[in-house]
Amino acid sequence: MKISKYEFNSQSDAESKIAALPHSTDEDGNNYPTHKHTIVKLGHIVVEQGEYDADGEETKAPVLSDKYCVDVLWKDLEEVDEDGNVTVDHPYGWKSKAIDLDDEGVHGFFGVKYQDNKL
Amino acid sequence: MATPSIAMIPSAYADSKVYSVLPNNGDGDFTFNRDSSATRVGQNGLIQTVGYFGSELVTNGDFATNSDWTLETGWTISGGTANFSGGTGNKAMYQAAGITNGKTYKIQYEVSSISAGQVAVRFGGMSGVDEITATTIGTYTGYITATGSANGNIHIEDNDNNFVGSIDNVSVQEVLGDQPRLNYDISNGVVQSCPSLLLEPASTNLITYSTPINSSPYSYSGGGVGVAPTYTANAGISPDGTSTAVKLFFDINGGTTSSDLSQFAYTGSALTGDYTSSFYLKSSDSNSYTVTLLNTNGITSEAVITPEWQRFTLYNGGGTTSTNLIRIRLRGNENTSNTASLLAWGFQLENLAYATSLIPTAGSSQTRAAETCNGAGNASTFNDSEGTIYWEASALADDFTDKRIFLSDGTMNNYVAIGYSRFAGNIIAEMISGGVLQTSSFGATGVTKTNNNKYALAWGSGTMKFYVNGTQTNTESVTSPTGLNVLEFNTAVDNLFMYSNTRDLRVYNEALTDTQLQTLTTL
Repeated sequence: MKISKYEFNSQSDAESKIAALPHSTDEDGNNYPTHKHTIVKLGHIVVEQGEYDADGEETKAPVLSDKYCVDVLWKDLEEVDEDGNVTVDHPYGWKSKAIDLDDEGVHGFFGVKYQDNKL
Repeated sequence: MATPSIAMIPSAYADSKVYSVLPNNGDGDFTFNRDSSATRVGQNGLIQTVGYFGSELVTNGDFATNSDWTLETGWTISGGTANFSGGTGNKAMYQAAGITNGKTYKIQYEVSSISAGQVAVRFGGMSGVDEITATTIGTYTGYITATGSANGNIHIEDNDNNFVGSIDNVSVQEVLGDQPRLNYDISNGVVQSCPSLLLEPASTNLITYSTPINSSPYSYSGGGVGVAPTYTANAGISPDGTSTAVKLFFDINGGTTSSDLSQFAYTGSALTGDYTSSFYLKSSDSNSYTVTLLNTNGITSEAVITPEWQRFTLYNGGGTTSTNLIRIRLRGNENTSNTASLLAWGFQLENLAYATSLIPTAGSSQTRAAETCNGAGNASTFNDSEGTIYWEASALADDFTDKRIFLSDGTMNNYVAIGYSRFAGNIIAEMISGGVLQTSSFGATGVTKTNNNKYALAWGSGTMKFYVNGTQTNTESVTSPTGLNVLEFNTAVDNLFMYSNTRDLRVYNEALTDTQLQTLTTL
């Protein structure tokens, strides 16, 4: 498995990429994923914390990223060509949205380090 | 009564496997998957982490002291690193790390300086077999399976008789892999003797420090004559057996108005949707205290905190949350105690309508991956013309989603299924034969799914019968399916995953009698 972090220009961009991953439709017409990836929509993450008073009222609004962030734990991305060479790459359309962090970031997958499993 | 063709009573597992008691040839074992760690309640009642990696096996891997390592000529430990200045004979430093043959380990180390040569980390006795080598500064990670010649030691070695440099932060952890969870329920403070197989969906703990810290995003505030709660770290034994519980002392100084407040909170941006907060509380002394708990939307509930650990779960019912995502307080007009001395631990906030097992965090939100359990049996395991599925389980929640225990031919054209309906209280008892739906009614209605219930579905001789907790709740005329060859905790098209606590799952190759079904399902 591999972990990668992505920044999309908008939520709809992210949703369209997620929807393009393998899926099927049940008898009620609902789509469900047929892939094994774990996709976590972090949304517009806080880049500067807000401030709140004792009643929880916001006294200073948090600063949010203008990007829509998604973390993915990819499963079974390996592809083997006719010569037996194994390659692992982002699914189509995801690579240009990938970011590379030097640390674990604001979110992780419990017990599986991003730095050790970075795609 | 007949012997089941498959009996999975949660008792044994291995990496990626849940073993069935019957059959004992392995055909009935389930394939299990979860791509992250998770926690469970162990047999001793303590919360334990299960997979993905085991505990640290190296002692003094950060070389804080000159100890624990055997140093061959040329190796030294000083300045917080292990150092080598060139030599001959591939000199090494090593320590016993309990490396066991046949097991796979994750090895990581840092080369903090290097001016010449190559260093290697490997297992003792496996020279030249599997090594993680380095020639430049950096952090190196690799996976090695210990073979028959491994002697249990971890070695750091000058690999080319030319290495000059320093090593730091050596780590070895067993790769436990996809470990299923046998979870021991705690009822009225007593750990139950029989575990259940706990299967949960993916979930993220949005609380960035599951053990509270004395600063943002946690806040401590007072009002009126009340004072801000005081905070003491590592003040008591927590539900995982460590001394990491936080002590919170609340005091409203006899205040009786809404202004008199002593409040602990976790703050963050407001959220929209289903959110459930959960946390563990107990009193830090022999007293019990009455406090106010608030869900993410700010709805209050009164709670009595006793000297026993309790997990409190608060669902917001949807809508928009407050920026105070968790609050615990004493308030003059809320019938709370005047003071409260509490131990607190294990805070969690999930985008779900119910709480799942604890996902520990320490500075960032963390996600536990979803679990699957499937692939048990084959064509020779099951009978088509008649049979019985028996299932004892409790739901994680009655959360308006469909879930299935599924005995099928690997397609959606022939199957027998028991499951939770998306309609509250309704239980599925369903059969399709040759692509034709044989059943038209729910197996049962009005069932409290989160209770531990016993279900049995028997079919044969043109009839299907369904029993819940000793009572027949449905019977219909059916044609038996054909080609049954696999039993799974999801459908044949990998959806409707049965997230639940399963205590017993069996398939009999005959339709049990009414008396047998009644006896089998009686609580």
